[in-house]
Amino acid sequence: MNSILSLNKNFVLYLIFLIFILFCFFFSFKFYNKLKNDFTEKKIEVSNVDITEPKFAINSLSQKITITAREGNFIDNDKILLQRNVMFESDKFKIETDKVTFNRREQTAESNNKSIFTSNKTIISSEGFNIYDNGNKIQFYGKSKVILK
Amino acid sequence: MIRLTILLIFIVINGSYARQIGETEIISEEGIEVFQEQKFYLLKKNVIITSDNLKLSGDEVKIYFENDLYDIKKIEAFNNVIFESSSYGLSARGEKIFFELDEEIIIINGVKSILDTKDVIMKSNNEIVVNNTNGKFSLKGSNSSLKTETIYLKGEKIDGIFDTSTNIKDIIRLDVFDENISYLKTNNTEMFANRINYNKDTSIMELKDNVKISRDGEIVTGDYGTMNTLTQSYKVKSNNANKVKVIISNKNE
Repeated sequence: MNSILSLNKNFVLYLIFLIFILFCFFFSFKFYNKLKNDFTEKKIEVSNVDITEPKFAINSLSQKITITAREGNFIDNDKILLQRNVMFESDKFKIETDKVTFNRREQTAESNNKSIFTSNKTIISSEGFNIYDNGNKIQFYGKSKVILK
Repeated sequence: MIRLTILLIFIVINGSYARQIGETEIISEEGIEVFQEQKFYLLKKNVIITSDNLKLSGDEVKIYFENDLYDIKKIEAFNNVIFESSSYGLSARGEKIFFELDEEIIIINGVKSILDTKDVIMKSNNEIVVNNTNGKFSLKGSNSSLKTETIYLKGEKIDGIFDTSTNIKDIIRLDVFDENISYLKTNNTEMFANRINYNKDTSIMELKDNVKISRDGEIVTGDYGTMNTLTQSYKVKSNNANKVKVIISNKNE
């Protein structure tokens, strides 16, 4: 006689049921964990960023410099830390970097991260920059390279 | 594999900002300040400017522009400046070198200033100015000197004009002054005077005050002298008729 036929039917059913319960429990637990993580991440994201897609401007008589970024965080009443895809754009030039401290009151911006300045037939790469005097003056920090086309 | 990828990324990133043919590259160690309204930018420490046909290095360089940064009008380079242009056969050294690009003016300042072209070597302890458009040049300061294939001259102040109609830097006007004594040497003649003038149109070299002409062992002194550069003949006069003095040396006999 086949040995499988000799097993208790009830026992087999119980075993299948138990395995099913274990599967359900396992997937429920995973799903719960995922939900929990998503919620925590969202919570962290919201708590870490004061402004999403911030946009500011430095105005002078000769030009307007628009500043955009992915994230912004207030350091104090005037200073804002702009992060990720920070871009300064005017009619004359564009500066791209990853982290900038913008001072709204003084209309200045400073970065100690690698920056790329582009204007008509000109590229300047530097280790940071400081925009002051209403955008009239730009100081590029560290070892810098200018390419004139 | 990871190392190779990092190396490739590094090459691509660096390559994207490396100088291509026809471009000018400027490197500075301690940054750049751009003054947009004043229309200049200041490059600090160990600045090197490289383009297809020139190289300039200095400790600090100020570049004036017309509308955009590439549109260069004037360059002022400071501290141990070295300029080389292989295509123009030109080199210069000085404490300061200024370039006016539109008018093609080069000004070299400082002790041991040198401007070396294919045809002329200029040296000065103060200032050398050359305008390539109108051919005017000027050297000021002690030990100022000018050397071409045919002449060598020294003086405290040397002004002149090059012929700009040809590629060869031929001198057409010359005015040399030295409170102590100016010196001019041609192939076989040495001339001394406080002031030496030359005009190519007349081919006459004019010597004023404390004149001394020396040729083949013959020395003539007086107050005023002229020399025809075509015939190589010279005359010396004196305010006092008895003052002209001729010394003939026996050493060549």
